[in-house]
Amino acid sequence: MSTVKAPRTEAHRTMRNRMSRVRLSSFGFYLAVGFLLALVIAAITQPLLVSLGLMYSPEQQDLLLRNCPPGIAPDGSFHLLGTDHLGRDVLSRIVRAAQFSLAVGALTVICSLVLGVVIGLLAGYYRGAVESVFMRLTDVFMSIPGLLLALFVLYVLGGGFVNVALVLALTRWPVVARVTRAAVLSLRERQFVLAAHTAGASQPRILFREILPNLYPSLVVLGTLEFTRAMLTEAGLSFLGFGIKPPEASWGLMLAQARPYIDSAWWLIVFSGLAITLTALAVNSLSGRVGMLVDPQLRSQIRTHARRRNRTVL
Amino acid sequence: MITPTRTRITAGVGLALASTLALVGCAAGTSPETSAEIDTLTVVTAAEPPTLDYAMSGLTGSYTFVAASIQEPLVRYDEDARTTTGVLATEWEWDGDLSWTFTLRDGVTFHSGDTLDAQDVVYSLQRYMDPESTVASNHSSLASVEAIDDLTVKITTSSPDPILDANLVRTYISSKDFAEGKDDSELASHADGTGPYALTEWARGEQIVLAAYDGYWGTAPSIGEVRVLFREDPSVRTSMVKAGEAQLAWQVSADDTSVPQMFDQKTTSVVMMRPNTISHPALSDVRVRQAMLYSIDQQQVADTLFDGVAQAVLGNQPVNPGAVGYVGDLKVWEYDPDLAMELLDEARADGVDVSAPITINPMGQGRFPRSAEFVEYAAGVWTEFGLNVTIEPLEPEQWVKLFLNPDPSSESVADMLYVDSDNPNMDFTRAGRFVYSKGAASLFSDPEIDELYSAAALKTGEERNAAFQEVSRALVPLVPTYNFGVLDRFHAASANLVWTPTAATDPDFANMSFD
Repeated sequence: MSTVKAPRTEAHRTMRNRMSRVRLSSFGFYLAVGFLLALVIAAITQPLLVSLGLMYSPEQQDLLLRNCPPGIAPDGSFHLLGTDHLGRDVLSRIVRAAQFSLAVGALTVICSLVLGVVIGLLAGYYRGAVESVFMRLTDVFMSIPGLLLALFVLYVLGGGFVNVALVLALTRWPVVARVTRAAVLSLRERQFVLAAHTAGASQPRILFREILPNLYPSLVVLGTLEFTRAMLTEAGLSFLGFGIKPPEASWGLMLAQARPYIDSAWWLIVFSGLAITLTALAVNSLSGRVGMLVDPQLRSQIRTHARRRNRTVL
Repeated sequence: MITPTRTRITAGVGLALASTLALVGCAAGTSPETSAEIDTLTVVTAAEPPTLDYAMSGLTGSYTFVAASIQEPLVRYDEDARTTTGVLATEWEWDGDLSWTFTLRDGVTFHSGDTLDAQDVVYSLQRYMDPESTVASNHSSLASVEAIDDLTVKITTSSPDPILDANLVRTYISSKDFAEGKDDSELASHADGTGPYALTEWARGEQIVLAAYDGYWGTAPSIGEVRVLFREDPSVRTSMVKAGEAQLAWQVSADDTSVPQMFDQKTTSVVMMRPNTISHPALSDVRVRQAMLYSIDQQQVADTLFDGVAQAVLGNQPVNPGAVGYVGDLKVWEYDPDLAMELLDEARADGVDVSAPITINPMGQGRFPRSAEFVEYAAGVWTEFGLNVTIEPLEPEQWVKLFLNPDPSSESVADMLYVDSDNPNMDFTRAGRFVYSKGAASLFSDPEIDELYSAAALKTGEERNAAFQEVSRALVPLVPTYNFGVLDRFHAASANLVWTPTAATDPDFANMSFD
């Protein structure tokens, strides 16, 4: 027992050093996770919180409480972030807007990932005519100014949550398709694909079970970056009056509505602006780490590492 | 997203400039050079006119902003006298039936050098009556125009019109020699008229420059040159006055107390919503319409959201105070949420589809401050009462299409149009557009009202006033439109600008001067 003890303490110490270094550098990581979790939970449970009386209803208007600064309003009610131009609680509005902003981001990413990955996989794996057609198609889509296309489509179809998400997906899938195709081009020549082929695996199996998992890390990183991008574009569109329409709430719309009061009610523009910035920052800072978590190579290394260690212990 | 920053910077620079300018002003004192320097009035307004051709101006207010100084109508409305006075016409007479005779002012010349004669009037009116013209609906009562001699014009109407003179207050006369042979796009950017100012330059997207016209028949204007600039954001306009970049900022927020001078102009415009009372499943029920009014605290709106924007309307009348047919002894529509709920429940119990979707269509972000905020507020209140309300702002052209000659049987008819309806001729017939079943923008029909209305429209003087007051009172329980306020306008100006605003007129640069 005692002969084994000394080297283990040594190993333990270096491990702890590494852990502490990781923990220090990932303080921001936990902060970001915490912020996003809080935002998502608040956004999802808002109707419940409102019915329990823990939060003001985002729709509750009171003209007597127009533009009250953060703190206690003249009628004695407490508003942490103040009230807006129709006397609605700014915190509730921000949480309500989070539902739209986050949902638009998520839906956009899902749609553009599905479309882009399928097209990228087919183009990269089959090459030839399929590749030429799909890649020229992405070239065409990438050469249309995204915001312009979005403005045009929304002008014709009208705003609203689903339309905004679909339009953004339409402008962003070519990026996903290109990244996917580039990765597939190198993966299809690798030996494990050849092995699967020789073992008689079907083409869908090779595409979706062998090649696709190796794309996860880059797709997740891309997806999170695209998520912020979609969220920011949605804010921009709503600011211009083409995205989410009042009386619905969106952070971009809140900024636009706060504009006339920029010199008389700072809290309107500051808090909705902060909501956008902090969410974008949090999601971006997560992207790299989440990518590592889903990397099959890293994961298998961790697994083999753990197995080896277990064996020595046994 | 650039604009807020720019506003802030402009405001900052503005403060610095304003103080510098104040110093310069003090130093210069009353030297003759100062008055020469400020012979130019720089005005900043929200929107550039799409055209300077009245026939194509549609119903956009930005047209008259500049054109009213360049061109003149036959008569204008005098608020103090509460009647029309002559501009290009000196006398006019109604024969009691279908024909009106106008005698024109002698010796009036156009900026292009042409002399005003009956042919110019005939030519102009015929262009406006042309169904192709976007203002044809304002001249729908006209049947024909003919020149009797050089200075006499006879106008025939399709039905007796005792107030034709008042209906012509915005019918601007342009020169036939000038306009003939020019195509529409050329006329849109080149205007000829008899007004106190002539158009000297129009750099699209930048500015319009007007210069005083030497040969003007009336009193020569005191300000020699007017530059008109366009800035959409009201706070930018205010900052420009503070910075000395402009001497007059048209229609700004009344909140800002740090401007050198603020003009308060009463207007004739009523903020209203026009429901489709004919074919909408919910809005065609009078109880739903009443409930929608009972659910909004109009007095509170006037005191808070519309503070410095609009006055409350008495008894949901569709006309402004001072107009023929206005009733002064009604009360502001009562706020009674319980009654509103009761009325809605009653309607629901009778099988009315109360939750049918209602789309409110404003024109863009609205043409006055807090316009969009009010729509959002009203939609919020009505949603709370269980109605299914959404807001869909429209571009001006789309909006005008829905506004004029709505067809209740068509799919595309607007559920609820958000309008600010002005009343340049100060007559109830302007509101008749909405409440008379044959009105140009009407989605309301009631045989009794139609009878009262068409009888009143034939009367003149005090009789006319009393008859239209009766229509006003009869309309109260029927709620043909929701009327939420009579607009005030606030204009920021430099301290040395002298002007007495009047309600029925567009900006009259000729009556402005520098101290």
